[in-house]
Amino acid sequence: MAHFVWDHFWKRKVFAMYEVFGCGIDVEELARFDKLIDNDDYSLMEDICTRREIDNICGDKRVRFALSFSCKEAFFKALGMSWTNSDVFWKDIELLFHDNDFNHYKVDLYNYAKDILVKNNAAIGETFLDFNEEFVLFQVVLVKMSEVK
Amino acid sequence: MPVITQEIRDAVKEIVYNFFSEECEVDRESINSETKIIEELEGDSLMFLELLEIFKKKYKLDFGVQSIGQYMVKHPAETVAKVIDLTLLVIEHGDKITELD
Repeated sequence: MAHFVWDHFWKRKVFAMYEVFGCGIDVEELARFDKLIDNDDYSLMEDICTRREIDNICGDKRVRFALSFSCKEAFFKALGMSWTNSDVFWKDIELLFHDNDFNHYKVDLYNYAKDILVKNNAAIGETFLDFNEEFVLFQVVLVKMSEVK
Repeated sequence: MPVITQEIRDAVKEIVYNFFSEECEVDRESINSETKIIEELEGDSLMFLELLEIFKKKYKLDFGVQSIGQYMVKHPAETVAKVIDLTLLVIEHGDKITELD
């Protein structure tokens, strides 16, 4: 569906259409994260999470780490890549929560992950997360803007 | 970084086989060097990261997983044998694994 949107680069209003650039969904079993944060040893998570993500962890650490991991996996899928076949690194995808509230969060992309979106005139369209006693889920839809002439 | 001895080779093999057997809930005897990690054992990223963490602690290694990821762009480790080979290279070279061809 086409909309009038503000083109920040050319500073003009354009009639543009959004299309799905990529989508990714990931589900993780919470029990798998028990041993990863055993005795407050976050060494594996330190390998894949940014310092801000580690410092941001509070409340249920298991859920927070699992959601961070799931978010990164979902973005890898949406970008059509993995950490073993691209220059996108785990730490290039960052999930930060506002305080202890799982409903308020932001995802930032860095380096190659960000470059891919910029080069393709794409952006993060929608994200969704959820969890229960057993699983966490993260979903992302990346959108691409195309001007309608 | 430790020099790779036969003892280390045997230990790595033992750990890798036992790890996949336990994590993937399959008989150890059903795993062989050509078993495919994703297709046959349904392994995933988290599993592989856990395995690297085991070796990081066992051999007191200091490496970043992104180095391993970069190496795997050119050298994917699809089978158990390739995971063992990769692990031995990680133990031997750490982050410098990216400097190998």
